[in-house]
Amino acid sequence: MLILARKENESIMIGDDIEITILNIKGDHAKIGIKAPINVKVYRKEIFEEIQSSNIQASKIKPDDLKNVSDLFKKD
Amino acid sequence: MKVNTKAFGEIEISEKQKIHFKNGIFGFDDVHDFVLIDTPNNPAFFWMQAEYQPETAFVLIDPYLIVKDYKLKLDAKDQEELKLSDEKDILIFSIVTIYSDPKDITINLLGPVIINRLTHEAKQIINQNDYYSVKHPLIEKKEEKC
Repeated sequence: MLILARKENESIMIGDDIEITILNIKGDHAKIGIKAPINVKVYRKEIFEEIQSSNIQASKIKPDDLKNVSDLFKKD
Repeated sequence: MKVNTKAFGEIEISEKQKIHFKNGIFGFDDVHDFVLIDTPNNPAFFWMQAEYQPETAFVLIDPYLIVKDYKLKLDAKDQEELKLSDEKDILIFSIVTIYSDPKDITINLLGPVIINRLTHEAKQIINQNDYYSVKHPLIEKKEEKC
């Protein structure tokens, strides 16, 4: 991993068209501004991890589980 | 063709039921080929079964049955990967998770599965409206009645 030290309002460029700016640092919080082309996806890493772990949990479903869900709907 | 499924054992599947994820889904990057199977007696749910891995299967639901004003935003890259020319050609599904208490069921509104109904290309996207949860309750919790 490339490690760079940056101060507030300093930036780094990734390629020609992605700019990441450290806007503000307060305690253990950094506010980061990102300029990137519209086709570049920018997400908090937690979102990836949340969806990944949700999929893994979802894949544990057993056929019988769904029978119970159908019952729930019928009662309504 | 025959597919070995988690829910129904070996069953006959038609070409029309096949969908293809170029990049797999999150956590299952290497699984590209799935088939969609109706659930007997329950039109709300579908099984999304991996074509070659009987143990890998998910249950899907139409999110609009649960959240009527669900908003989905696809970006240009999603459209390109899905080979989409018209947004009307998509099918939208949420993956269902069932926990040990069967009443504890959630649907994933943040990472919906999108299928191009014409080409059968599919992708799990991250909804650009990122205020949605991966664990939205299927059924609103009701007060226990005495």
